[in-house]
This record gives sequence, C-alpha cells and structure tokens, in this order.
Amino acid sequence: MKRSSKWAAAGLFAVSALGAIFTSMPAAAQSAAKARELVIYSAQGYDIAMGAAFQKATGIKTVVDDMSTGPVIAKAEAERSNPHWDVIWFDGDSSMQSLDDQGMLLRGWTPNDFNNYTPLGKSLVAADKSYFPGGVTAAAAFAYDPKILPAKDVPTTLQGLLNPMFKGELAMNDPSISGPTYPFVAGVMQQMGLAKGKQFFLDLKKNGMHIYRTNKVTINALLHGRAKLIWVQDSALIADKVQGDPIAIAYPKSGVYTLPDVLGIDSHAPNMKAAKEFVQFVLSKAGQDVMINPANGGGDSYYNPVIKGIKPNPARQQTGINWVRVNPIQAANVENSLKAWFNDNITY
Amino acid sequence: MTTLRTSPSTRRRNPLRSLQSAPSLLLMSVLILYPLGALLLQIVFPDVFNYHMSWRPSFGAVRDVMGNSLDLTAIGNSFWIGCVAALVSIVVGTVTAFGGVMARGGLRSLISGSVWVIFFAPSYVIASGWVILLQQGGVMQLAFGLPSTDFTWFFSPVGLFLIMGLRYFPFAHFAMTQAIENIGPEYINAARMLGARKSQVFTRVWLRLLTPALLAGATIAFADGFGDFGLAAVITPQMQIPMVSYQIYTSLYETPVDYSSAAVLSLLVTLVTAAALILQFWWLSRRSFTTVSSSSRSSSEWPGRGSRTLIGLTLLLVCFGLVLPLGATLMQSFWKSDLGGLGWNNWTTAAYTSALSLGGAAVQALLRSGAYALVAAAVTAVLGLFVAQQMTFLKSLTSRILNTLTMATIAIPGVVLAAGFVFAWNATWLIPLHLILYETPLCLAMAYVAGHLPYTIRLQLSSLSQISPNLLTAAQTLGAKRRTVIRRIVVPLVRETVVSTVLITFTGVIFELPAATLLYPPGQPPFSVLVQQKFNSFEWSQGSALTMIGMGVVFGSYALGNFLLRRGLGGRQGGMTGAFTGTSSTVGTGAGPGMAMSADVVS
Repeated sequence: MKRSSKWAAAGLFAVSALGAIFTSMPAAAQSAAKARELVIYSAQGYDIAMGAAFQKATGIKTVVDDMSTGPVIAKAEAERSNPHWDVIWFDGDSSMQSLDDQGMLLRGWTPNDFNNYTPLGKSLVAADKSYFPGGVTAAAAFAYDPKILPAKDVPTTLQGLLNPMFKGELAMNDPSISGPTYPFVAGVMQQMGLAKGKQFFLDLKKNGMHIYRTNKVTINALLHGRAKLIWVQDSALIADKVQGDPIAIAYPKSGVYTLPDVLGIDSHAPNMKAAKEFVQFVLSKAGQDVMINPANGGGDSYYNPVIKGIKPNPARQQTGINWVRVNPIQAANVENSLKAWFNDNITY
Repeated sequence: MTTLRTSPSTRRRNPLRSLQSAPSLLLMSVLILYPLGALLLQIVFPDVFNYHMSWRPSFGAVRDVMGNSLDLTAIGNSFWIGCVAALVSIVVGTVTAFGGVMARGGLRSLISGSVWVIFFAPSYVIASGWVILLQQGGVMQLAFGLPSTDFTWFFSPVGLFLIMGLRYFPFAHFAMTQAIENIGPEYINAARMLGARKSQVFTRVWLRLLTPALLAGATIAFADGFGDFGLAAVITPQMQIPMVSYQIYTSLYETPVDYSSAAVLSLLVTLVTAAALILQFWWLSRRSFTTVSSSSRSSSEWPGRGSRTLIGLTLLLVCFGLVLPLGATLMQSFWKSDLGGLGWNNWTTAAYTSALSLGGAAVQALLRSGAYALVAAAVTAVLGLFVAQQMTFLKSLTSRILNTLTMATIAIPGVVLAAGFVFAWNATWLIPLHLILYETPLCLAMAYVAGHLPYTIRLQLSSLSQISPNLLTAAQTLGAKRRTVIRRIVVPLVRETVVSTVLITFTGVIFELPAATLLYPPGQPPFSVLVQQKFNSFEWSQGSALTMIGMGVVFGSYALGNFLLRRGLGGRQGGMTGAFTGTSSTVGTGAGPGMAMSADVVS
C-alpha cells in the first residue's frame, strides 16, 4: 500500500471510529434517561429549588435547565420539530402567547387545583388554557428616596409624571433591552390607546425622562441622585429595599400592569404525565412555599401570590394595588413595531 | 512526507487522488457543513424544521432583512466600525510590536505575556470589564469620585472602536513582531549605507516590508469585529448602536425568535468576512514580500537601545487593553455592595468563598468545563494536524475545496454554528437511526471541536508549509531514517503550533458561551453558562469572582504551555510566542503570505 493510501486509510479509520462512538453511546443512554426524567426549561430564580422539591415529593427525576428568558425561548423554538423539554417557565405572558400561537403548548388541560386561583390568578390564565401563572409582579412601580422626595409628592396617576417637578428627574428602562419593561409599555398603550400612549411617552421625553438599560442601572440612578423617581419592576425594587437601600415603593392608583411568571406544557412533551404533575405541584401550597422563600428565588420570590391562602413575603404590599391585566395577544402582536417606535422616538 | 517519493507528474495522473482527502472532507462535513447547512436551509425553507415539516419555499426572510432599516443600518455600522477598529488595532499592534521587540529581559516577557492574555481573554470578559469600569455608578466613578458624564463619550462609536481596537490588536502584534524579527538588520543597514534618512528607512523599508503583516492583522481584526458576539452581547445594547452581530443575537434571543432572519444575516457576515480574507490573499499574491531568504537571518534582538518612549507607550497600551478592564472586574469581585465603593468596610472575599465551596455548583461547572476543554483541545489538535497534513501533502481538488472551506468557516459566528447544531443533530430523520445527539455531552464536545477546528487547521497549515520537500529529501539523502526525519525536522516544527492550538481550544472552551448555552445537557451547565447566570441575575460580585477564577485558569494554562515549550519539550527561545512569531524564520520558504497566514488563523 502506498503511504498516501495509508494516510487515507488512517483517516477513514479515525472517521469511522468517531462514527461508531456517535452511534453507540449517546442515543442509547439518552433514550433510557428520557423515559424517566422530567425536563424543565426555565428562567425563574426559584426553579432549581422547585425541581428538587418536586423530585423529593414525587420521586420523579427532575432536571432543570436554568437560563435567561431569551435562550429558554430560543432553545424551545430550535427544538420545535423534536422537543426535549416537558415544561417551560418564564416571566411574561406575551412571549408565552407567541409559543402558543405556534402550537407548541398543550391546550385545554385544567390543573386539579384550578379553583384555588384567586380572581387575579384566573384572569391571567390563557384563554385556551395553554399556560398558567405561578405568581405575578408589577411590570412597573414607582420608587423614590423618602428623604429626597416626600411621599405626598409621589404621583398617583401617570399624568402626574408630567408635572414640572419631575423635569429631568424621572427614569425608566429601555424596553428593547430590559425584559420586564416591554409589558409595561404595552400596558400604557392598552390603557390609553396607541396614539395617546405614544404621545404620553413623547411628553415624558419632553419633560426630560431618562432611559437607562436595566433595573440595576435605573435603581442606581435613583440611589446616586440622578433621578428623584424611577419606574421599574417591583420585585427588583423590593429585593433592593430588603438589602437595606433607602427606597420606598408606590403603586399608581391609575393602574399597575401585570407581569406574571407563566408555566406551559410542551404539546408533544416526552413526559406528559410528570409535566402535568409538576405544574400542579407549583400551584400547590408545597410548591408556593418553595417559591416565596427568597433563599430559593432571590428577587423573584417577592411576587404577589395568585393562589388562595398563600401569604406574600411581608416585604411587599399586596392590598390596594389596582392591577391592569395586559392582554398578551395584543402585546405579542405589536411587540416588534412598538419596540422599534420606542427605540427611534423615546430612547434616542 | 508521503509525496517525497512521488514525482509531480505521477501525482497529476492519479485519479484516486481526490478520494484520499475524503476523510478530511467527511470530517468537515459532519462537524461544520451539515450543521451550517441545516441553519442556512431555513433561509429558503423556513418550515423545514417545524413539527409539521414543509418544503414550501419562501423568500420572506430575505425580504424582511432587506426591507428592515434597522438590519441595513446594522450592516453599515458593523462595516465602518469594523474598518476603523481594524485601523486602530494595527496602529496599536505596530506600536506594541516595536515596543516588544525593543524591550529587554523581564519587560519583554511582560509585554509578550500580556498580549497573549489579551488574545486568550474572551471578548465578553474584556467588554464586561470596561462596562464595570466606566458605566454610571461604575468603578471609575466610585473610586475617584468622577461625575458620570465624564464617560458618556465612551458609550458611543468612539468607545466601541477603541474597545475593539484594544481587543483585537494582538493579531497585528503577532504578525508584526514576526515580520520585524524577520527583516533583521541587513535591509536597514543597506538603506542607511545608501544614505537613507530615518524617516525614509521607516516609510520605504519598514512599512513596505511590513505590508503583509499589517494587512493580515487588519483583516483579522475586521473579520473578528464584524462577527463578534461577546462584544455585541455586552457592549452594543448599552451604546444603542445597531450592529449586525447584535441583530443576529436579538433575532435568536428575543421574542419572536426568527431563525430565518438570523440565517440570512449570518450568511451576510460569513460572506463579508470571507471577502475580506480573499481580498487580503489577492493583495499579497500580487508581489513578493519575502523577508526570509537563505542569506538573511532573523534577529529577535533589536539592534541598539531602542526607544524608551515607544516601550513606555507599549506598556501604557497593554495597561489599557488588559489591566484596566480586568482590574475593574477584580475590584468588583471583592466588593460587598456597589454603593460602598472603596470604603474600608466594603471589601469581602465572600464571592470567592461561595464560588469555591466544595461541592458547589461553580466547582462542578468548572470541572465539567475543564473536562470538555481537555477533550476538545486534544481532539481538535489531532484532527487539525490530520486535515492540515492531508491538505499540504495531497494536492488535489478536494484539498482546494478544503482550503476554501476552512477559510470561509473561520468567519462563522459561534452562535450561528451552535444554532445549526441544534437543528442538525435534533432532526427528526435521525430518530430511526438513533442519532439524536442534541443535548448529549458528545454534541456539545463536537460543537466545541467544530468551533476551533478551522483555526487549528489554518495554524497547522502554516507550520507545515515551512517544511520544504527539499529539506526532507536532503535529510533522507544524508541517510536519515524516516523516524529521524519526523523526530528531528517535522516534530520540532509543528510542536509549538500543537501546544498553541491545544491552548487556544482549551481556554476558548472554558469561556465559550453560545454553544454552551444552546447545547448543554440538561442539568449540567458548563462554567460559562454559570458565569452568565450570575451576571444576568445582577449578582455582579459573584459573576466577577467566577470570571476571575476562569481567567486564573487561562493564566495558568498560558504559563504551563510556555513552561512546556521552553523546558519540558526543549522548544526554541521564543516559547509560546514562537509558535506564531518565530516559525517561518527557521526553515526554507514559509515567509510572505505564509507568514500572513500564521496570524490570520488565530482569530
């Protein structure tokens, strides 16, 4: 055999050896493992603790893939022909609605403790029962330092933000970058109507509103005195307040936009039975006890419960909030165009 | 080596020649072409990977991208910012290369070591460091009480191309260092003897002879900047300048997820980068830039004392490129609270203690990534050497195809290849074959190998290209046995490159994010995913501590690689740097474009 042929033979051998490894090892191991495991794609702070608690309670081996919301959705979409996940869980019902619109979620199934939902909880369940809220936060609440801005001066309506007192002193996040901010922009548009809503944001801009990137940067702007009043997701504000930062939180009486964490089941879930059990576990008292403990969920644990009999973390206000449910179908439909408009007209 | 005994004429006559390179082509197909094809297929067949598969063609995605002003602006921005960044990087790289060659002893090692660390450090680590340093409420503001408005200029295109320039200058630095050493004193002395002034020597001799190195550095800086996701993910959203890599990122990671648009944009990025590389080779092939001849000698010592100003400037630039961003991350990792700043009671090692607690998630993730990195580095080095030797010694159509392929695939952004892997190795047609590899450790390892293989092949090609057949024939004529030829000639020439490629893959895998995010087996997150989780949940101290631990691993690997080359393997004086900068000076023909190659492969 010529030497060049030897090289070729060696190469072929290497490739076929690799091929043999490809074929034998993983597929067998994977199919055996798949039969038992429950796979959850999630972006919630308490998801790993919840997976462990569920496994302990039921004996079902549970694997939690914890990522941020973007990759969770990207992964689910890329797998749509051959899904590997059973349950998906993240903040924001408009994004979940877009998965449902593509037929990726199980529809029409009702958890056995459905009637334990509070009226607010029931209002956040998808019309076709394709996803269920585990809790809800305010997409945006006001925060201020009471030593600098007396509580009596905090506006109770959105129009109050246009007061000259807040010229150059109000800040919010950029909806193109900060996940929880889009639902609240969509909420303003829903409440005021698209034209008036856009005009309202233009007026805020004229009044010198600052746009920062994310919750952390906006909260820092308040703490460093660059803004007197900020408008961000309340669970982030509560987590910061609990850490000892000098901030107070207020909910405008004119309305607070809902930002629920939502759970959906894969319409072709490899482990459908366990997936349903998991959703029911999250909605049960045992599951909620895991969720509400900040040791498990950090900032995400300061949510407003939507299950009867569950008490929120004492750090958060639960009564007196005028919840406005943001319609996820409408919000999903205009998401791209609205973000682009905001970017061109308000952020810059 | 095989071809030593076959004359060119017999080579041309052999009809099976193309088949001999088939294993390499098969390997590239399995690892790169098939996944990439799976993604690009969706440009025209958007529903081919839907649950209900459909081959209905649609050009909607192409129309969407071409009709979307944001996408078009992003492409334009990426182009001009990439060009300016490339310019900045060659200016910086030229200064540091001259400074590095002029410096002596420890100072020289410091400069070369620092440039290597900048080269190995992942973009998002450098970018996060700059953000931690200069953002509102960042380290600079807290440490020195500066008003936040002092740094608003940074979050603009100016800041972006400065960061990119300081991130990518190592490419120019490596190419230039090698070129400066190769030019040696003969040309300079000749010019001076003929009465040339210093400025004339610089413009007429240095600049002309350094053209290939300058071009190589600039092309790679441009190509890398054009498709870099690390910078895109961290910097671009903060500056609100649309860039094409960020547009790909958002079409993948923001609802509604749009793989078809991502594929169109990826194809554009790949084409533009490939065009830049081809342009570079065309330019270099127009004339000879040979600096190494049988009579010239390379000199790693600068004749004379060298300019102190230039050395000082080099140290300053290295400081900007490495010390400032990493220093900021280091400080942040020891802070209790962002508000506390430099106050004495704001310092703690808690983030490190919790990160390193035994049995903790971070330690497990680091061990997991270490294992992936070792396996991927070893496999990539072996496969890279195998494909490169086939391409070098089996001149055939397949080799030419492989050559084009490896060049084009250098430009593919990691996230694009990773998305391709999901579609390719989770495709329903693989179910009856039991070949669904997606979400298995093997799939992630393959993606790591695929991501690093093109670089490795290009590096090995350049080191193998120096082995002139004449040299081998001469050795054999003088009675050296085949084993001796390999041991005394071939191995010493590829050894440093093997160590370098192992190191590049190893450190690359530790911090690799896009493939890790999309492909890791459920419940077994690699290190980079964990770091990202900490930053995403605003646990900046924890994230920074993990980053520094990872960088510690990178520093350690660099030191180990250098040690192995200098001592253990008896390498040449250059150590690690020699793998890129000293190779073509040793034997025969490898200068000119070959030298340019050695830099272009390291992106």
